[in-house]
Amino acid sequence: MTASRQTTPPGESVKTFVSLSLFIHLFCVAVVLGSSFSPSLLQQRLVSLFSPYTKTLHLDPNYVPPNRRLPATPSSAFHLTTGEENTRLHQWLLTTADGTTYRFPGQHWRGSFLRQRLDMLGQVAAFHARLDIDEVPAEIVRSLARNFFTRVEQDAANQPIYVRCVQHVGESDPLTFDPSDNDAGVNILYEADVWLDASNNGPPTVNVLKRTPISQSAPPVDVGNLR
Amino acid sequence: MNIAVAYSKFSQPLIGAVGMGWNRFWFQQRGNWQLALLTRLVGVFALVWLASFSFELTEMFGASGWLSRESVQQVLTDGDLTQPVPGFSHLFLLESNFSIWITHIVGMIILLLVAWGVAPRISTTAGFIIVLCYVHRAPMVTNQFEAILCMLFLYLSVGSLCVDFRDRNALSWTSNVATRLIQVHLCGFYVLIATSKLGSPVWWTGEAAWYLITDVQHRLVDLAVLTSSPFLMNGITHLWLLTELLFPVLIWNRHTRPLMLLLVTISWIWTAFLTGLVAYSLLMFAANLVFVTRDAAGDKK
Repeated sequence: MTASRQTTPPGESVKTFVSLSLFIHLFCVAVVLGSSFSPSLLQQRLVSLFSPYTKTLHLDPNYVPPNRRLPATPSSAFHLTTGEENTRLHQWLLTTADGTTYRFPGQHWRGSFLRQRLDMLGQVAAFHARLDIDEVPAEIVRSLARNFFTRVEQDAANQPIYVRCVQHVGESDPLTFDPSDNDAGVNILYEADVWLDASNNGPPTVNVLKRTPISQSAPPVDVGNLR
Repeated sequence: MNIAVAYSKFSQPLIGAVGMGWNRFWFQQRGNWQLALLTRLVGVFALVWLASFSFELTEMFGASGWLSRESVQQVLTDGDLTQPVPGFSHLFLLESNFSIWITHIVGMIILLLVAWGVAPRISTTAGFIIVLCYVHRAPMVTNQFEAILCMLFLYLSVGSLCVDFRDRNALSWTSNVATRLIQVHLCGFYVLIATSKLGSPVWWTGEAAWYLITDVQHRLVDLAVLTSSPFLMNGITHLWLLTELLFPVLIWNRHTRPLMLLLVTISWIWTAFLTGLVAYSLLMFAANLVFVTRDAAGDKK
């Protein structure tokens, strides 16, 4: 048995300084954790005020500005399930002109970090698409497509691709379900046609054109015989 | 005047008691074994987490990766691309795949040193900075795991700067401050977890367990046989939520602490099986070790 050695107890001035630091730190922590779900205006203001400290040390699980905190963002989904569809698996589908579909996540173990990251990327796109902030999903689609174009043959890169962010709402298998089947048990949250434009003098650009669902398009009208 | 005297007589002992309680809570002497163990565990978790980027490293962080600088900026700045990307990360500065790989390997070596317990004062702080750089590079693909990992790393790195965790026989008040901070912050997370669940009707109606069991894309094991009994589903949901609600209160009492640790251990195993959040569940289990006292660990020296 060995004797334990004690360090010198802190002096009064040290105790005062440490106590004050602890109080300020824990107050910041309490505010950011307490603001993860439906924050008040006061909480939003305090979160903004503390953000240089709390964001730098990642003490705040939310990545978005505090005025976007309703509903809770994917990264702060500590509830695990809400019973709604937005906690189900999100998947990215890239379909080439010849009909081949690449799936992200694909054959990844369900507990793997990579599968969770790709799921989160889909959740982020869906979260912003639901708020009608199309710039975010469009930019994510552009990044995914740019990466795809750099990895395929030149001929394939010259063909447009069709990118979808889908969410599984039924018992569909993410690896084997047919994306063209309307009854496959998936919802399309964002879809876009993407192509590489090399017509200008500079480096080729990746163009993203969002597809609009039929329900949001103008209904077809019978105009009769035009001749 | 009498009121002032009465108030003074009442308040002075109260303030004195609060002050003594505060000092006893934060500034008592404590051994290093919990923090030494936790540092190594956190090092292992961080190493596995960082290594998981290796499979798709340049696909994610490369110049034309999935998480391009533009897409991260778009998400974090509300679409205002004139604003700088908040947070710091060396990965924003790297263009070539070679340089990304070199820094990635250096980061893994540093976290290996943390897990191994080599030069903890330097390696723990350096490891925390590495983890923060990866988190800041793409915060939108982080989840609960990274929030807990950064919390633990912060207090362990601050604690390791003040005391050498390898000295098992030393008692110090700085070890106690680091341990208490982890305990209090962990309780804050349990409050967040419980209140987030209370915000969803399925946790009130007792259907949450059913929803998780029937989520075929996330679950690790098929427990659909349990769903035949709605009472069982309701009971599991209520006990699960009750455990997380009571944890921040009952964990401080030495008589109820073993029961709470047992219940949360079961709930984290359950969480891993039903949600696929294995690393998060294991990390929470490891973080709960900070409440295990020396007596409970079987060392009664």
